[in-house]
Amino acid sequence: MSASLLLSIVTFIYLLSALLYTVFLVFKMPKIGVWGSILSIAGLIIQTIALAMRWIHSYEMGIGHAPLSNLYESLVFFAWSIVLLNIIFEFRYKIRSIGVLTLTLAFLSMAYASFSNDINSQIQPLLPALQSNWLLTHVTTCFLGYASFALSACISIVYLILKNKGGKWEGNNFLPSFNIMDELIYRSVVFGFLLLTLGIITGSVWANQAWGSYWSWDPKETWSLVTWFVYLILLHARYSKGWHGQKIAWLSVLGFGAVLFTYFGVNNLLSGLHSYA
Amino acid sequence: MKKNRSNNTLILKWLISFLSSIKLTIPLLFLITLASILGTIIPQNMSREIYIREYGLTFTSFMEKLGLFNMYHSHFFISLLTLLTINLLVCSLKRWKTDWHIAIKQWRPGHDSKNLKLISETTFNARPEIVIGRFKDVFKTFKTTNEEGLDDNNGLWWSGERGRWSRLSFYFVHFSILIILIGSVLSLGFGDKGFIIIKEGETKESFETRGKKQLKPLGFKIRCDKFSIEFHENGMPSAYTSDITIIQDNKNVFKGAVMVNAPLKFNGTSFYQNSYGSTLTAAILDVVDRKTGESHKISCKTGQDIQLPAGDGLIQVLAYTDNFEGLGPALRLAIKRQGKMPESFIIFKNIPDFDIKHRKDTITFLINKVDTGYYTVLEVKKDPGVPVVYIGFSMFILSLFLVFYFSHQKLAISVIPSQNGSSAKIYGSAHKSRFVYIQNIRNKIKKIAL
Repeated sequence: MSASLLLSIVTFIYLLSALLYTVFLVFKMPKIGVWGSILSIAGLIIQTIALAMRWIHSYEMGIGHAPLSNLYESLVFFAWSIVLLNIIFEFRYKIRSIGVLTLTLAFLSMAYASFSNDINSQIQPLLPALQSNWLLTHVTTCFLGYASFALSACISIVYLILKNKGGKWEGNNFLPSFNIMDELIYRSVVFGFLLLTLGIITGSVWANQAWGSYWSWDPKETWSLVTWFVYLILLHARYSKGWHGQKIAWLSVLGFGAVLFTYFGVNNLLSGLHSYA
Repeated sequence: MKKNRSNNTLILKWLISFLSSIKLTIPLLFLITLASILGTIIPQNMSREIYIREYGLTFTSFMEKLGLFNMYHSHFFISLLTLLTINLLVCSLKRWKTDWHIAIKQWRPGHDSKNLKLISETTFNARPEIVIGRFKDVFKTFKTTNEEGLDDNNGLWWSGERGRWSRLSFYFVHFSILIILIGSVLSLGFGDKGFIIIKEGETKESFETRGKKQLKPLGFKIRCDKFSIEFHENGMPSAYTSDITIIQDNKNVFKGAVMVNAPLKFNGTSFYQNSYGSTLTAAILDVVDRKTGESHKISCKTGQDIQLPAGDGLIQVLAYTDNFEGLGPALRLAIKRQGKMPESFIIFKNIPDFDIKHRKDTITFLINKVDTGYYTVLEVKKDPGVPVVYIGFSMFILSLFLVFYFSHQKLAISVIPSQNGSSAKIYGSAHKSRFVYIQNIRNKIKKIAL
């Protein structure tokens, strides 16, 4: 079985899992929720195998490199990271409901990678600029960070919807209380911030090695810094001004907007050195 | 006089509290973010003509004054960064004393302490000593800070804490930011950046700086022995390699290769593979007499005057390009004849009759053969700031991890004997992530079965 066929199956599994999570939440059917989780785990395992196969296959082609070198591969890895973090949060903090949004996001990322005509899914050799050990650390840290911010934004959206419905929410078996959601938004932002920092720093060290400059205000660099600043504002507002709840949730959604622009907007709308993904 | 002084101290106090305030931090971060975004939308460091075409003359002058075309080096941006640095420094210095005292001094609450938050109340079927013993076992990671009997009915009190030092991780984070900033100031102030263009076989001893276009000496000589490109099967480039030799005091002291992602460092100067191009080493031209069809071969090099065969002037190759607008290799030539203005024109290797058709001279030119070689463009950098920045980077990552995942946590329990055993009150606090801390403590207490 080929890696690309497996990835198509994974796309389908994520869609199904997202649907099951929705049924679970809308019709309050706990057993369906368990199946949503099981499917997301199965999808993650198959996707991991597919990624490993793609990696091995690139070595068989004689151009061996980690499957993290272009837009297609980054979208697939983005989906993988989101699902992984969703599972971790689900087990650690016992919240199944966020899967509705996170799995939908993972599905959209996979579907965009597979079905868009502009995205090449072939395994391609690396340009000289990408031939570096930093590729693996830089891309994984950045995208795990992005995924964590995605998770945070998903929880924030749920939080804001519930809050705007009005009334108090003490939480039930399906959705945690406002306090816990607030804490989870913060936790996922913190993890994302740590990883984005690592991503920016590894990128900076890599740029210094490849081009002789650790910071050159390239649009991609600048926008990753803009994203970093948005979350920096969030953290300072929380630590020093004691912001909680809705304000933090809005900032987290804004931050994810900056993530999306850094990821897609910069390459499509601005020109710079970072043209791979 | 006295009044003046007190006014001054008032102003100073206000200034310090303003400079250390979070009310300053957040607007500053917001403005820096906004300015950074503007810098990606407005094209930076283009020529004035382009801006005038885009924004009009009045707007361009206005934007130029604001520094919008060189945003990240504008006075506005630098001032914001400086103010943020001051904010960070003053804030840290102001808070330092309090946190340092907490960090070095063991927390030792008396059992009547009122400022502790009650997080749980439970009863156990065991005597107070056993309950306390069990608690100390479950919360092993907490260091005991106080243990004493309660005055009333054989009750017991225990308190413990952990992660006291994490009060300082906040300073560690801000300190590493300062280190990174110091490193970048060193880079800007003492670093030198430029590039060097070397043909294969050529030796250079200076490089050109980017901004002011000055020539600066390297302190040694560098020779490019060979430049090569390798390709993948699908035609994509796989490697650019410049083989170079470093020469000092007329001796070859070092031989090596510069590749993308593999720079070469010598005596504090780093060389990076930047780009390349091809250059003419020699061109053989056929000079054809239009009337007789008689042909002569001449050999030229770029920038050299060569006598024309008829002896009526000089010819010089001004420039060579290996692909002129998709038409293949081309030469730009100049003919100089006495008493006439020099005439410049282009001839193509792949279009032999181009010159015959386009000029009405008595002699026409054909490219017989071009010998080309590569030249390599190396980025040259001396940057004493890099190690400092890297130290700052490592410290920053480490301290972020500490600041996010460790906090100063306190725990206290008072146990009083009751009818069937004892009843316990558990108090606690954490200086960060209080909510999760309390949740965790409650979960752990639930598991204590006595």
